[in-house]
Amino acid sequence: MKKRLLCLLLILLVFPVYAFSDGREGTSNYLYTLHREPVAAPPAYTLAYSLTARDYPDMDGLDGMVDAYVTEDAVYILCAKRLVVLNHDLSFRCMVKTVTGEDGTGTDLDACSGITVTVDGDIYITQSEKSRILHLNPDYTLKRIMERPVIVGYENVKYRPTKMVVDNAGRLYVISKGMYEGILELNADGSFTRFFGVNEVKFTPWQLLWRVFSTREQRARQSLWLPSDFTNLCIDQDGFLFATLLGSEQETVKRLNAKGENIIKVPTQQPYPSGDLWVNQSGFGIPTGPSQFIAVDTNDCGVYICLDSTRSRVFAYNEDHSLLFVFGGPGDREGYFRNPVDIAFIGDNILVLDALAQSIEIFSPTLYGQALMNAVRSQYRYGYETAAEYWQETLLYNHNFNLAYSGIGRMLLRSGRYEEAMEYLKKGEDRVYYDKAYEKVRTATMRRYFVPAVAAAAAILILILVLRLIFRKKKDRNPEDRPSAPVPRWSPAWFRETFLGFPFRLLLRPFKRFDEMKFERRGSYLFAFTVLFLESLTAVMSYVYTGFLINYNDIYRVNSLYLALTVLFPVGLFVLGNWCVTTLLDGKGRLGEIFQVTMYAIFPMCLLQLLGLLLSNVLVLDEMVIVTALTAIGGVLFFVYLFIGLAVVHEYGFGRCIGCLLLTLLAMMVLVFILMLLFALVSDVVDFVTVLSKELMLKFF
Amino acid sequence: MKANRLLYAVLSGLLVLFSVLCGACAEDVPGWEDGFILAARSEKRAMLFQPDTLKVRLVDLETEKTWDSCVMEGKQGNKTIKNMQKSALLATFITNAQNATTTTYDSYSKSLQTGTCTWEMIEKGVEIHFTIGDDTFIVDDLPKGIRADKYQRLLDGAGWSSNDKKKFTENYRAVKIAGLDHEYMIRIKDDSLSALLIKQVHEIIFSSGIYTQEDMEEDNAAVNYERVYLPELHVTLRFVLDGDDLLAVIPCDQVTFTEGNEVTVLELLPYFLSADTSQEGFILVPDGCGAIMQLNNQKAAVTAYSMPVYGKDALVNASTYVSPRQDVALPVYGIKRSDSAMLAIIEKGAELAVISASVSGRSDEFNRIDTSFTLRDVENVSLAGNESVTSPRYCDDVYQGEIVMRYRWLTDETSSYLDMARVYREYLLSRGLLTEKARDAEAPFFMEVLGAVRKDAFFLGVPYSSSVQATTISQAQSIYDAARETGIRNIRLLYAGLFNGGIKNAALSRLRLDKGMGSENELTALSEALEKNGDRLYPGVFLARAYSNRGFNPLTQASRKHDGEPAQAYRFGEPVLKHARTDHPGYYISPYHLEEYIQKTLSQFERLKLKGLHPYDLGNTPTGDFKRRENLSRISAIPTFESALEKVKEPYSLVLETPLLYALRYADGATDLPSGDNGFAITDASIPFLQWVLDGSMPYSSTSWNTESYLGMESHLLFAMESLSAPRFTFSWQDPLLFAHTGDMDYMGYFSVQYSQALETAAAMYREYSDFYRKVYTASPARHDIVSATLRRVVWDNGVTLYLNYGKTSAELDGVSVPALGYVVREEASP
Repeated sequence: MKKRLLCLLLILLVFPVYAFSDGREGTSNYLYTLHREPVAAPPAYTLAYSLTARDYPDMDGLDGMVDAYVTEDAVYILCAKRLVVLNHDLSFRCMVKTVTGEDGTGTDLDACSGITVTVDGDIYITQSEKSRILHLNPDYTLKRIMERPVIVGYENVKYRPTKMVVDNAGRLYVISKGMYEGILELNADGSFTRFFGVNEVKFTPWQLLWRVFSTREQRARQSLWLPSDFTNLCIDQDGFLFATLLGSEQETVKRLNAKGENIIKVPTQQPYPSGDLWVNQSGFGIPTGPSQFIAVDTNDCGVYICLDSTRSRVFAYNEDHSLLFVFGGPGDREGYFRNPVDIAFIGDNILVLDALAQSIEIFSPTLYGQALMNAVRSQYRYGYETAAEYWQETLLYNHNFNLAYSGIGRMLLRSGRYEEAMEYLKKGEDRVYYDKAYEKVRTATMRRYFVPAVAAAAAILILILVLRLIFRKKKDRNPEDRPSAPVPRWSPAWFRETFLGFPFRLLLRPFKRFDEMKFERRGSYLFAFTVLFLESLTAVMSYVYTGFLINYNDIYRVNSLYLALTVLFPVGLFVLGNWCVTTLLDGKGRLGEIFQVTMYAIFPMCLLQLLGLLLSNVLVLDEMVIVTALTAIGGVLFFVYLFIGLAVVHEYGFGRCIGCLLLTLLAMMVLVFILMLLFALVSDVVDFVTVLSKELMLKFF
Repeated sequence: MKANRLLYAVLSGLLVLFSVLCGACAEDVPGWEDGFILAARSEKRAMLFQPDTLKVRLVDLETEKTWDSCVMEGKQGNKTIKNMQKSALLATFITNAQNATTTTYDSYSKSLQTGTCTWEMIEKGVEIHFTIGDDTFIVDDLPKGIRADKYQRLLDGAGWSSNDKKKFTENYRAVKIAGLDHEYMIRIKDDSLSALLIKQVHEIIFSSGIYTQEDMEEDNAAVNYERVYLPELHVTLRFVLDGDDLLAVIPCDQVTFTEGNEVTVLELLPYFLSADTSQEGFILVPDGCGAIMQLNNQKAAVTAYSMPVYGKDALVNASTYVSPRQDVALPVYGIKRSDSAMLAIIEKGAELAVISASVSGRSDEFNRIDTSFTLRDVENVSLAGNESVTSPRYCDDVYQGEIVMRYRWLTDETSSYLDMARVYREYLLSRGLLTEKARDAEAPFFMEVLGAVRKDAFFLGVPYSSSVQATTISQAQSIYDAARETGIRNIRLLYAGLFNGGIKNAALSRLRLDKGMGSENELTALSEALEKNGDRLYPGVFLARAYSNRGFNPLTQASRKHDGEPAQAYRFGEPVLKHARTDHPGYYISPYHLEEYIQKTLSQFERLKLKGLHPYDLGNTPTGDFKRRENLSRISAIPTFESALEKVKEPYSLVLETPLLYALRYADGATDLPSGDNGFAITDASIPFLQWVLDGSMPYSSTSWNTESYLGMESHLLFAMESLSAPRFTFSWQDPLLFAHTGDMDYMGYFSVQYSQALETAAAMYREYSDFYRKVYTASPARHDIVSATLRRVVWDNGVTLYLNYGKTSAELDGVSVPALGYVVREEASP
C-alpha cells in the first residue's frame, strides 16, 4: 500500500494527474464591441493543469497564498507563513519558513503580504501587519530588516506595506495600506523620498450638488471622500509602473510615468481598460458592481493582464489598451476561481493563485490564444507582415475580432492594397486608418473618372442650353411677377408650385413670401407636414446612414420612434408655446400659421442636413468639417427664417419678436413641467392597470 | 405517539419471532451473522436482513462476497454523520410553511432508535414502515387547561413532594373562562418552559394515574384548544431481490406526514455505495459523458459532487444563475471497491433524482455516492411589485408512483467502468430503452449546415425584423456535393435554420421555408439527392419551443412558472451572469398543448417528403407546466414527450441533440454528446461512458469540431477515436460575420464555419477517422486504461490497441512512442 502511494506521488510529480483537462472548458468567452456590447469569442486560454499541496510531497501546505513573482528562472509563491520557490515548469525547488540573519538569529516568515525579486536575485518580502520589509539574499538568508521609514507629518498613520516593486535604479515602490497620499518611493537604503502617483479625489457634479444641500450633521455622517487605495503593482519592461486601484473610480488600473502621472490614454470612442463594461448592479446570488482589479502583470510584448476580484476574471489588454481576451469566472469548476489573489505570466502561460482552493492554476493559450499572442508580439516588434499573418490565423478562429481585422487592414494599407484594406478596416471599425485607405481609393477613382465626368457634365450642360434655346419662346420667362392664374389643386403644376416653386422662392425673399403666406394663403399644410415628416426621417436616417467615418452609433440598437420624437416633440412644443405666448401678446398669427412658418423655416435646414448626410458618406475625415459647416449653416438659416416668419405672421417688430421668442422658451419649459406631472400620473395608472390585468389573466387563463 | 411505542415494540417482537422461525435456514448462507434473517434468495444471490439495525446484506453465493446497505461501525464523523451512516433513508421536510425552512431527519435516530418502525416479510424481500419523528416532549404534551376539580384531586391525591407541587402550581393557574360549566386551570407559560421542565411536569402529572391522556384530550377540547404535534412522517421502504439485483423501492403514495410538514426530499441508502479509506477503486458519476473519482483522492477541501438528473427543472428558479453545464443524461452511477463493484440504476423516479458524491476526509472516512429524490421542489416566489417579499411554492402535482433503485452487483474483482457501461447497456437493452443496431460499415459523418437567422434590416433608417441566409438550399447542395467529392461518405446532413425565422424557429404550426432560402421543391430535391447516395437530410427544428410570438400565444400555450409568467429558454449572458436580453424569447410549449402542436406541425411537414428530422429539444429539457390550478410536474410530463417522440419517429428517422435516457429509444442518431465532464474539482478524469452505452445502438457525435477549432482538430480526433464518435462539422456558405448584430451570442459563436476554409480539414479528419473506424467497427472495446492525465490506452477485442496522447509532449507507452496530440494504432492477430 505504502509503495503504491509512493508511486502515485511520483506520478503526480511528473504528471499532475488530478487536474486532467480536456480543454473544452470555456469560461467567460467574450469580448466587447466598441459599443460596449459583449460579443462571443473562443477561449484564448484554458486551464492546462492545477497544482495543490498534494502534488508536492516536500510541501506542507499552500494555505494563505498572497502573492506570486516570476523571474527569469523561478516562480516565487508567497504564502502568509512560507515562501515556496518553484522552477518554471512548476516543479519544486525549495520552501522557506524561517530566514536566518548574519548573526544567526532566525526570523519566522509570518503575516507576509507581498514579494518582489530584483534582477540580482535579492528578495523583498513585505509584512504588512508587522510594518516592515524583509530583504533576503538570493540564498534566502536575511540581509536586513527595513522598518518604517521616517515620513514627516505622517507619524500617526500606520505603516502597512502590502505590496512593493524595485526598479532598475534600486528605488523601492511600496504600497502602504491606508496611506492615501500615494505609493511610497524609498531609496535603496530605505529612506523615504516622496509619495508617488497620488490618486486624486474626483466628484461628480451630482455629488457636489448633494453636498451643498446637505446639513452639517448630514455631511458629518457621510463617508469621507478619500482617494482610492492602491491594491497591487508591477513594473513593466520599459520601467513604468502598473498599479491597480480599489474604489469606485473609473481608472482601476494605471500606468505611471516617472512623474507619477497615468499615461494610459485611450481614444475617445475606446473604453478605458476597466474590466467588464457591462455590469449588473443587482442580482440574486451573483456578483454585482464594476470590476475591481487586485493584481496586474505584464509580459515582454506590452500585454498586461488584470485580475478582477468581483467576478474572478482575468482581463488582458495590449499596449494600446484594447481588450484581447477574458477568462475565468466565479465557481469551483475547472477554469473558474473561488478566491483568486494574484496572477503572473510564465512565458506565454498564465499563473493564477486561488487562495480558497489553495491551488496554483496554470492556463495555457489555445491555438487561438497562441495566434493572438504571436500577432500582438509581432506587432509590438514592428513586424507588421508577420503580425498580419498571425491576425489572419486568429480570424480563422474568431471572426468577431475587431483587432485582427484592423491589424490586417493596416498591413494592407502599408502595402498599398487600399481596397482590401478598406474592407478589413471597416470590419475592424478602425476609422482612422479606414480614412487613409479610403482617401487613396477615392483619389484613384477620381483620377480615373475625372476627365470623363467633366466631359459628361459639359455635354449635359450644353444639351440643356440648346433645349432651352429651342423651347424659350413657348414659355413665359418669369411667371412669378405676373398675377398667376389659379392652378387647380392636385394638378402637376400645383404640386410643382407647392413643393418646388414657393418654398424655394421663399428662401430668396422671405419677407415678401411670408407676407404672401399670411395674407394670400400661399402656405400649404401638405408641404408643412411633408417637411415635418422629412425632418423626422432625416433624424432617423442620419443615425443609421451617416458615413462610417463619423458614425459611432450602434445601428442595430436604434429606436426609430425615439429619434423621430426628438424632432416631433420640440416642434410641437414650440408651436404650442409660441401660440400661447403670442395670443397673450397681441400676435396676429394663428396656430396654423405658426406651424407653417416653422416648417418652411426648417425646410432649408432639412435639405442641408440631407446633403450633409450624403456627403458624410463620400468625404474623408479631414473634409468632414464641410458636413459640420452645413449643419451649422442649416441651424442659422432655420433661426433666421423662423425669426422673419414669426415677425411677419405676428406683425411684430424686432424687439418684440425677440421677447416673444424668449417667452416661448419659458412657455415650453412650463409645458414640459406639466407634461411630466401628467406623465407620472398616467404611468401610475398604467402600472396599476397592467398589474391588475396581468393578475386577472394569470388567474383565468 | 408515545402511547404507540409499546404497540410498536410488541409488534416488532412478534415479527422477530416470526422471522426467526422462517429465517431458520439463513445460517447456511455465507456471510450470515447473528441477528440476520434470510429475506430472499435467488440462484446467485441471497438477501439477509438484520431487524435490529434494518441493515440489508447482499450475499453472492458463488464467491461468498457480501455488501451491506449501511455502515454501523464508522470511525470518524460527528453524531449526525454517524446516524446517517446507519440510516436507510433521510427525510427532509418543511418545518415552517411561511418561509419554507426545512429539517432533515435520519431514519436511524428518529425512527429505529425511537422504536417507531415496523417491518414485515414480503415476497422476495422485506418491507419496512418508518415512522420518522422526534420523541422529545413539547409543551403541548401537557394539557392546556385542567378542570379545577381534577386539578385539586391531583394536588391532594398524587402524593407529590413540595418541590413537585411548586413546579406544578407555577405553571397552571386558575382562570374562569366565560361560557364554560367548570372552572379551569390554564397553562400560562407556553413559550418559556424548558424541555427539561416540560418533561418533569409531564412526569408529575401523568405518573400518578389520576390524570390520564383521555383527561387531557377532554380538557383541551373543553377549553377549545387544538394541540400542536411534532412533525411525524411515514415512509415505506421495500427491499426486493429481483433476480440477481437488489431493488430498493419507496411507494410515494404511501409517504404521509403531519400537516404542514410536507416531505421535500428523500435520500435513499446514503451509505450503500460507500467505501472507506482502506478500499481502492473509483466512483463513477454520470457527469457530462462520464467521470470517475478515485477513492480517497484527498480532495476534501473541494465542493462535493451534486447534479440533478436530466438537468435542473427549467421552471423552478429559472432566473437563478447556474454556470452552463452538461446535464446528466443517464440516471446511473457506480462504485468500485477493492473486491467488487456496485452499479446503481435509478429505475423509476429519475426525474426527481439528484446524484451526490463525496470522497473520504470530508465528513468521515467514507467515499460515497447516493441519490436524493426531490418530491417537492420548493421555490421562493417573489410577489408582483415587491421583489423582497417571497412566498414558497411547489408543484401541486407531486409524484405518486414508485421510486425504484436497482443495484446490480458486479462481483468480479477486476470490474472496470467499461464493464459498468456494458452491464448498464445490457440492462437498457433488456428494458427496451435502447435497441440494438449494427454499426455502419462506413464511418458516419455529421454535417451541420447553417441556414437562416433572424437579423434586423433597415428601410429608410427604420429597422424591421428580417432574416439573413448563411446557406441557401442550393448552396447546401453544393457543399454536400463538394463533401462527397472529397471522399466523405455516410453523411447525415443536419440543416439548421430552414423554417419560420431561422435556426431558433418560431412556432411551426404554419410551416414555411424562410424567405430567401429557396423553394420547397429544392428542399425535396436535396433530400432525394441525398437518399440516392445513401445519405440523409435532417432539417434541424425546435419542436417543443417557439422563439417568437408569431403564430403562438405564450399566455395560453407556453409553460408557466410559479409566478404565472411564461417560462423562457434562458441563456445566461456571460458578462453579468444574468439571463441575456433577447428580442426573441424562447417559450417552452406546454405539455398540455404539445401533442396537438406536434400533430399540426407534422401534417405541415408532410408536403416536403422528407425522411429525417433533427429535433433540438424533444430529447432534452423536458418541462412541465405550473399553470395555476393545473400544475404538471416534469416527471408527469415525460410521457407527453415520449409520445411526441413516438409520433415524430413514425414517419421520420431522428437524430436527437444531447438525448436524455427517455429519448434514446427513439433516436437513430445522437449529436452534441458531451466530450468531457463538467470539470468539477472533485472528479479526476472523464471517460466516454455515455458513448459506450450508446455504441451499437446508433451513430453519435460530439459537438462540432470546427466551431471549437481553437483546441486543435487533433484533440477532437483523439476523443472521437477513444469513444468512436463520428466527426461532426458545421458549415456556412457565407462569412460567419453575417451573424454579427443578431443580438444572440449563440449565433455569434459559430466560429470557423466558413465551408471554403473548413471542408478541407473536415475531409482530412474524416479520412483519418475512417481509417481507424474500419479497423474496429466490428469489434468492441475490451479494456480502457487511463495511464496518466494525458495518456490513454484502449484495447479492442479484435486485437487492435489504440494509444492516445492528449498531452503536448510525446510519450512512451508499452514500448510505443506516441507523438504529442497523436495516436498509435497497433494491430495484433486476434487470439
